[in-house]
Amino acid sequence: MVEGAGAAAENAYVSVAGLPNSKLAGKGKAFAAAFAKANHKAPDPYSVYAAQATVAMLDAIARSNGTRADVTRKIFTTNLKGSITGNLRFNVQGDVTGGPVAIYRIKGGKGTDYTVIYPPEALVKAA
Amino acid sequence: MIGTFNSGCAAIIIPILNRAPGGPIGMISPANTYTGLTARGPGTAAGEPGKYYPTGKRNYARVVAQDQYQGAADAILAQKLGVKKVYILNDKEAYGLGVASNFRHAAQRLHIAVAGFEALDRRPRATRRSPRRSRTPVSPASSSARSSARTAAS
Repeated sequence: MVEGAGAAAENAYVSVAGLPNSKLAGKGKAFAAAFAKANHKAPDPYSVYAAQATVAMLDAIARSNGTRADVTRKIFTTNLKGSITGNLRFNVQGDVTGGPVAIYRIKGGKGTDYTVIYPPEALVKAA
Repeated sequence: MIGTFNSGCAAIIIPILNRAPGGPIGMISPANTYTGLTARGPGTAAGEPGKYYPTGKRNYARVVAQDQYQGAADAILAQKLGVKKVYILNDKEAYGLGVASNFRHAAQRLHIAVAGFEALDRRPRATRRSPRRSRTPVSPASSSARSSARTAAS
């Protein structure tokens, strides 16, 4: 957006599902630090979530009987505590319940952390 | 499979992996948020989510919250900023249209007036109809904006 809109993007608010790197704790904070050390730059927040998805998949594989079908079944019984993005469970639909939404603001042509919103379930259902 | 990144891509791939020999191949997406991939809800299309799971078995999960959360969060942000009226644009993609719809419903629940809801016109300028003009704030919700902000902030 910054590249396309240029100066017009200044002060715009941008929302993205998930936590900004600045709010990672425990294993998430450790992952971000290790990534930065290895790659000489901070991870894109999507890289953090890709790592979380990978951890969940490896966990499902470890708990399975090794067959394709059982790995898929085990995904839906995921119950990770204190993982990269926090505690992780999926409902029967494959969704996480609850969920932070990061709000960034464009300042000086760069996205800066503004706030994190945890919308109440009642408003989520209305949305 | 770890993926996909884009919800529109997931809509194509999920049913293919769902029909894989030997049982559905599991997918965990780090970034898809379009509601219709997993559930019914405002803004989802007819037949969703069932059409993505032709075997009747689920094979897809995601580690980020779906668009209803983002739409609700956007409405809360607008309320906190004192916004009274919005004009909503979307890019007609699965993600953009979906979250714009979610935002519209949440904004209305918070008594923020919606002056309009339109898709961006990507046709060559010479073939476009005259654009409407409005001074009301526009809700920023597009996959390209998302990517730019996250990349710039990281």
